[in-house]
Amino acid sequence: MNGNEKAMSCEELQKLAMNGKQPGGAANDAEHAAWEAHLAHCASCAAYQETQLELRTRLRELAAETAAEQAPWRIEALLRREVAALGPRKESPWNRRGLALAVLAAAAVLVAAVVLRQSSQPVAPVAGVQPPPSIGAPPEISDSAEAAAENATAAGDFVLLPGGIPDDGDDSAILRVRLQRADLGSMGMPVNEEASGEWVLVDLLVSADGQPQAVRLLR
Amino acid sequence: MGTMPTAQNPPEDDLLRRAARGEEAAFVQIYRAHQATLYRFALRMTGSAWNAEEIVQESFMALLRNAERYDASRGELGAFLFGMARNFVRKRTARGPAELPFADDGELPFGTSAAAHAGARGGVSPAELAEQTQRIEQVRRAVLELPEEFREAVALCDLEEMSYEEAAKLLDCPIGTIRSRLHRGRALLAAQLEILRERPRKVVNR
Repeated sequence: MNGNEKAMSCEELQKLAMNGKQPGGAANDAEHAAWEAHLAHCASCAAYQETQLELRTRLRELAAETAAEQAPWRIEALLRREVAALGPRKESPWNRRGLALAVLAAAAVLVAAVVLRQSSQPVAPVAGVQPPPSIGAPPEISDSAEAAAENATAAGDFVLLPGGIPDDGDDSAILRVRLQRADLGSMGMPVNEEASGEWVLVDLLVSADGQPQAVRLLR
Repeated sequence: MGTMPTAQNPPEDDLLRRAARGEEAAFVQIYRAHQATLYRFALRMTGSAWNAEEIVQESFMALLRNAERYDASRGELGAFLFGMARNFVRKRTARGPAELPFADDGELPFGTSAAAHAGARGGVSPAELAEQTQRIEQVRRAVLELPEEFREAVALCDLEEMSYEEAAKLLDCPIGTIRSRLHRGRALLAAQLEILRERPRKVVNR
């Protein structure tokens, strides 16, 4: 200081520090000079300055330690599944409501099919499509029945839904949907109760009238 | 935390609307822009990686459930998200003091493993590494013992190295409030660390 600058008080120095100004930082040249001059004569502010510098150093050490921290990838994966559940099924017209309507329609078709088959010749099996184990009987929900269905689908074959009508024409379409095993149960497929909430990817063989006739479980 | 909207970076309110309708790509863009800052804030406020993960998850879930409440004209999406995170942090810290857990396998708390790696790389002696680790742990505990409003200011300005303006936007308070809280938080930290020093500081009259 050349004697012309105003001497800084302890309160002014602490105010500058509180506002983030310090020598070498945001303080201008005049403030810097007054600051240094004050520290040369004030032991308590010198101690305060030293403490603040040490504190800044230690906080920077802690900051550097945690600078690379971020949420683990599983959080993103979990949230993405939640987001996917918010939207409609993108690739298939079969949302849950549509499936429920299809099940009701399939049940009506089943009744009609039972009545018709009682007076018709046995249906010839369609290549690649296996008939249900028994006509008219409700499917047994058991490990062996579910395993049998899964084995059939694992072989790439469609399994006829109860009441489904084999269709070897060109009017059928295959829809790939993601649904819970419980939905398969509502279509009449055997499902293990414990796994009913599990999500699976399936192909639905849909006839020209839009009704699912058979299902293939994808792995 | 905000960026100018472009074709590659659409406005965040548009992304949020699309995410709330189930568009994963839109959600991922929002998530990856904000998750790290949010996680570090929660980690530094609670002292627990597990709590920080829960807070991040809960914050983004709350964001999706309350997407219609976000008004871009009132502030950036980051601030909206931070407001939710702060509430979840408060709920956790209200249950008790900040935790300083060790994992069951004896793993050190966050903030110390990196020091070990850095020491191994830089050829720091075991004694120096132990001293540095202890120093960092002292500061970490002192930060966790700060009152919540001071801890927030220290976490954002000193640890995340945000400017006063950025921190004020996130905490939705005036810049002067941030300065005041930071100053008092640092004063409390300094006092706490003075107590922990092995030798009292010598005050020399120049």
